[in-house]
Amino acid sequence: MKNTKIIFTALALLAMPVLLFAYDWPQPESETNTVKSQFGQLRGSTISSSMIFSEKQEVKSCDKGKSIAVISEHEDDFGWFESPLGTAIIVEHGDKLCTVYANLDRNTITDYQDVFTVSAGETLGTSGQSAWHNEGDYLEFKVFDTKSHTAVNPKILMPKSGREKVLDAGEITLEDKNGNKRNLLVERKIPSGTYFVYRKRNEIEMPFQTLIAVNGNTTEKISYETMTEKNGRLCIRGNSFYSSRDLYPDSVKQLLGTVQFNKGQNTLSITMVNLLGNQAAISYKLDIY
Amino acid sequence: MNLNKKKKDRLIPAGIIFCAVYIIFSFKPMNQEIHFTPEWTVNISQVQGADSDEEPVPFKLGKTTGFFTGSGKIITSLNYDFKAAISDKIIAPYNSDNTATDLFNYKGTKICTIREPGFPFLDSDRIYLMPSGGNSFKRISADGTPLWNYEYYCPITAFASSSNGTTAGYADGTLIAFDNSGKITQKFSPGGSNTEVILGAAISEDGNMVACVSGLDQQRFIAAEKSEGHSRIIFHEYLGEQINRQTIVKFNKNADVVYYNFKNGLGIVNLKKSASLKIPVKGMITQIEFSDDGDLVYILSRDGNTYTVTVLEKYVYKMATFSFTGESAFIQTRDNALFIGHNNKISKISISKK
Repeated sequence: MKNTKIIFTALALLAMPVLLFAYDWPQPESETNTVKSQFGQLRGSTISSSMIFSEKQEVKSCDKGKSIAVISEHEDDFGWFESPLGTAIIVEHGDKLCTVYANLDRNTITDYQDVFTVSAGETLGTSGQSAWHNEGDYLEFKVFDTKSHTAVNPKILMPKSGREKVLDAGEITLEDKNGNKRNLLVERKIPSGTYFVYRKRNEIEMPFQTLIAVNGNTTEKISYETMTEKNGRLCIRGNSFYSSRDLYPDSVKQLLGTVQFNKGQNTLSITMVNLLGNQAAISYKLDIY
Repeated sequence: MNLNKKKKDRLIPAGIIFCAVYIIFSFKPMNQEIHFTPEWTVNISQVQGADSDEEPVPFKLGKTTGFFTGSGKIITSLNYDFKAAISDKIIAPYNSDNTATDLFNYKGTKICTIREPGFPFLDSDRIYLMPSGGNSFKRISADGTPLWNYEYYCPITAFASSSNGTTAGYADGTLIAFDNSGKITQKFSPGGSNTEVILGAAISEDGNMVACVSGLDQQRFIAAEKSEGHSRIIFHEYLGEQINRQTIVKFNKNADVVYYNFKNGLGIVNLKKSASLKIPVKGMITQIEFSDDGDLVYILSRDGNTYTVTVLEKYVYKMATFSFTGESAFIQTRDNALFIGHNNKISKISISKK
């Protein structure tokens, strides 16, 4: 019950920026359950602040704004760094929110250098093969907020006309600070203490929030709404700031939260919520000694 | 009458003496002129291998990269499909889905592998990796393992390194400088513009000074130095017309002069005198190189398929310019020579003062 209240409150808060910033999708494809990679996913060795689309199409500006930077490829030039965004256009909108359209075909954006005004829905180019990508020649899309110094999950600013992937908690593993693992599929009697709760990482599907509760009391909520830099690491906010090493200690696990078990009967509840408020929940009755 | 004659008698010798003194004191040797003499031209496909101790010079033309020598031997010539990073000492071709990067020396011998996804960036013997997403970078050791990294919330729009530092400029207008251990030595936003963004950045050889082109409405150039744990702006100027593309900023070897590209021009800032000068340059400046003695500065700019080399003497005086058309080009300087790469050929031009 308490979890449900938290979820509704969170979703109401999430609705606010959507009402304030009526952005449109940068590509006609709005079935966000088909995207190749989502905000918060492990991508390479970092937590991705990008959304990777799945259609090679024209790319349009989400809203009117100003083209503040055109990142170029420099394969014919000497001594320049090559951005893994390839050819990209960064547009600042009037509210300190910026959108990034990357992995563009440079031949389709030539006229955008030193053109500053961009109107809503204006075609910026076509997705190409200029960025670092292993997903295909698709648009890499980002949003960041220069006022709050955060990378923003693009989904919370866009129309929610698409479907979302069905979440699956999958195989849950507990791990103590010494690295001792407990697979809850086979172990229900475990020592008291603090544990990290992991699920098996899914390369496509991504929760918007994860909640961990013990005996009905929520102990941690990790939200994939924004990311911020802490001590040189891009972090997701939970009870503390989690970097890629914390969230994804290897290529298989994803952190869902931390939990403290005291001796006795404990019910561990794990809830994953997508942007539409759909939940995947699982509970385990544990005998803590 | 006699008086006039006496005056005349005095004036004539005085005039002769004056002329002689003038000639003696006004005499000075003629200025030395700089001569450019073409030496050789070589095709980059004519690989002759490394059989001498000559210093290797890197090249990148089209989809071919490698090293050559001052005597005109192509040591290595490597074709690549996607892109390649190259420095004075290392070469690294890579693909768009690069999950591991092999690094080679000038002879083509593999020296290490970076076992992480991203695009490599090489500068002299310094190795970096730009991981996917464009928000972060990693300093990589000579054996290919990460030394330190820095992640940020928005994309890197400018990046440069020197022997004693690294600097990254970001899309939110933040400029950060790091020492070689990854410790932040400077972090600030130049400000002064309605929209903040860093479009070009440089760091001095000693790592103490940074410079950048930043902002829109109004765009400006600034140079700052590390001062008691803070950044102190030592020079700034607003630019007239503005750009939104990445641009080059470069310190000279002594870090007393800094060069930057603004729309249709080259800015030259003498930091010692707090004075600046602007020279019109059409198109985008892609390279700025210096002669070994520091007297000459070579600027390579590109406007469509037209490349122009501009030569400056004593840092500021425009003394020569010539253009050619091509698909790709580069310049390099070694000793008293300028090397110009153009499509699939490299030429050496010797420089002498007579």
